[in-house]
Amino acid sequence: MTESLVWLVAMVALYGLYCLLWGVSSARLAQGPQDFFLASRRVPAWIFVLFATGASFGGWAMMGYPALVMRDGFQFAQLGLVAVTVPLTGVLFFKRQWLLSKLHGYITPGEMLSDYFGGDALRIVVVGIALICAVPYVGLQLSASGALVEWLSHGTVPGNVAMWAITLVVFLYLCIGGFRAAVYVGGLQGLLLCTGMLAVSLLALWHLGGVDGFDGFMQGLSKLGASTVGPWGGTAQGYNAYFSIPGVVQFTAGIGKEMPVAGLWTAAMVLSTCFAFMGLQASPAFSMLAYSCKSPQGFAPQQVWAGAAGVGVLLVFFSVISGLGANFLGTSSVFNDAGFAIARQLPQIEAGQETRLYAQYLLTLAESSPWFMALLAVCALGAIHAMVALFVTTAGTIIVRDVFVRYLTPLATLDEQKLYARCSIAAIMGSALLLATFSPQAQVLLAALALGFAVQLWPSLAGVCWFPWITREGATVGLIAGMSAVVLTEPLGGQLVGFFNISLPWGRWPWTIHSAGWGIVVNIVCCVVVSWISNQKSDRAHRLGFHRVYSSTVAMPSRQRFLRPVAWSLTLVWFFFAVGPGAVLGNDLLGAPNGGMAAWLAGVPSLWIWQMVWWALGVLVVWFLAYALRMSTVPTPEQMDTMARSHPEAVRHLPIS
Amino acid sequence: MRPQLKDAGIAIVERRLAVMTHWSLFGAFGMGFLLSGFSAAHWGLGLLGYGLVLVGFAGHVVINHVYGTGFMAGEVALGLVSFGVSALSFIGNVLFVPNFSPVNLALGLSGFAAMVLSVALYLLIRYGTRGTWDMVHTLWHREGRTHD
Repeated sequence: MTESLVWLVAMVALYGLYCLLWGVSSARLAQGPQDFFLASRRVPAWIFVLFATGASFGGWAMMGYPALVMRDGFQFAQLGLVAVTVPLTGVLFFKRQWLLSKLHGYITPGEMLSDYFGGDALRIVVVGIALICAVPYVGLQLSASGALVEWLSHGTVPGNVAMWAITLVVFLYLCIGGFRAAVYVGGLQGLLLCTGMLAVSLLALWHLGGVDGFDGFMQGLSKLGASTVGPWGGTAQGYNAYFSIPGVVQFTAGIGKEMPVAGLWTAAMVLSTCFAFMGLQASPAFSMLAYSCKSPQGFAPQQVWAGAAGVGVLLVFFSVISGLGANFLGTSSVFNDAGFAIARQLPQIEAGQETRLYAQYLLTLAESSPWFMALLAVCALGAIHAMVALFVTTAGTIIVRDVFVRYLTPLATLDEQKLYARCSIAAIMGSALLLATFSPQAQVLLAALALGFAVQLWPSLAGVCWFPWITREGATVGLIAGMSAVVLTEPLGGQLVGFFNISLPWGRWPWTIHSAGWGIVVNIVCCVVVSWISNQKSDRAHRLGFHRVYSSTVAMPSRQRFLRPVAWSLTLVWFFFAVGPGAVLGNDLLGAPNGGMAAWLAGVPSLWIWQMVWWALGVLVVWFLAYALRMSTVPTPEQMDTMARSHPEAVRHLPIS
Repeated sequence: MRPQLKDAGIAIVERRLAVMTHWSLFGAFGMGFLLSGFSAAHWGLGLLGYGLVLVGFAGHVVINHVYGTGFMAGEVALGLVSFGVSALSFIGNVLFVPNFSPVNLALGLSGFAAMVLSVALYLLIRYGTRGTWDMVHTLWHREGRTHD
């Protein structure tokens, strides 16, 4: 056993002990099933900030994002702006959902949607979405954790063995401590995510030349920009495709049928992928996380400072260095052959194996500082487990409340519900592990649907929180149509219709639009049309009852209402230029990519500056919405007084009053 | 359990959680840099390690302030034991390891000095000169009685 493996095992064991300790502590604090389901709705603000950040970005930000930046360059790095778009979902929906859950005692979003719209169709669909997020998507995350240990141990510990062992620890602490254990451990996991991302980027800079690493990196970029070396070659303007977004949209038939020219990440692709990521905070898991909060005190800091600002700077600046910098450190045979390598610190990474990048960085520490290799491995495991813990515990609760209690055992006592929840968690994690072990291809197919499905809840949540004219029929038809569109624009759709000997004329993500984008467009159109047709006065009166609560408690003061159109205009402008069609302006507005450092503003490639500027403006937009428009702040004392007078039964649920 | 007692219990646990979360990060990375600093006889890495440990200590003080408490007896004991073990192993290395690097010697001495100064500074700020003296005097006195 090598020294680095000893350190790795020791650090993972310590991390496991920490998780189990808080699992047991949470169980000892628990006063009943409400505690197991939602931590007694008393999650403090600081834990919410850390846990929501870790669970929102998780292993993707740490391992997936730099790997794809390495492969596709700045055109993919445009997706670093998801750090702004992900919290925007929370800004729109968290506070109002939190308020409704306090008033009506909802535990799951299925209960909320069912109560608001009436009927059970939406409840069932929410269960389905929670399961897709929990089983294949979580299985994918768990596979990544096993693979990381396998790579770091050079195959001494097989990936599946590591995955099962690590998952056993996660299962135990979640099963023992429930949701409270998930959020308590999640505090550290959020910190580990940010620390790991920062540390690997600094390590990349160190390998690129120590103190002068950034200069070396910029000179490497300058040289690369003047060429068309890279997997995507050059654009029509003659720029290296690494440095430019390949058009607003390309009307291709989709991956598998027709590949786009000069790269996949057109503006339409970036925007629609941002929609997919916005599904994270619209997912049932995040609704329940919002319900569990003691007050909305943590919403705005998480959205503005931890998410948009903190993770934003890590994605837009630091992870770009670790991703693109890897090409100058020897990972690409094409770059090595063309003489772009500054130092051969990393081994070559084959196409399709890009997610090994994080492990390869860590392996450079195996000889000199094996303890850091192990510590940074735990950072990645923690980041992965934050998302896993949230999705698994909430899915367990959703199954119990929306299936067992609703349909099978309505008279189940609270303690029985807790037992069922534990069994559900075991079943979900077991299924995820079996899928990851024995059918990884099916897992990838199904996991691809998770975010696309979750974002389809947007119109339903918009109905609950903002638009009383959205009807039950509209929301249901829109949701199902949207999910169908997602399936049909993913490989699974092609395989499903293949059973009927039908061949779809398109592949994956036709017209360079992500399946989530197709889904949400179809969803919104169906939702609006059906709502317009099916609007009935009696149902609308029921829904308006909910919206009257908002106007008396969380709505903006009338003297600030003029800010609302300003805010929405700013948001639309931001979307257009940051992640929408206007992003292509960034290709060469601030200097031609092939002009070298002398031609670039401040010596930085045009598209990178564009991303940094719009990231900073994005933080301002989120701040404006969350704080200035009070969309994520704690209700004022006057609003709480109004609430106490108009809804006296709610006071006991509102610890902030 | 009555609601007030339950709330108090949760507050105590959440404070402990904050302390452990904080030290898990700064303690682990601080120790990592210290190991790197001593193993490579590198000033910068070692000082960074001490810096992170001191940030951990400062953060612990802030957490105490937020939750309106001081250091718990167990935390003080753990801190003193850790400090004692580190000091003893450092002295043992200086005495018995041949060709002990002068950089490591200076690194160890400056680090321990910084930690002692930080704790002294904290005591002076928190309790004042007289309060600190009284506290130390009381501890000695109590220690003496125990031994009697």
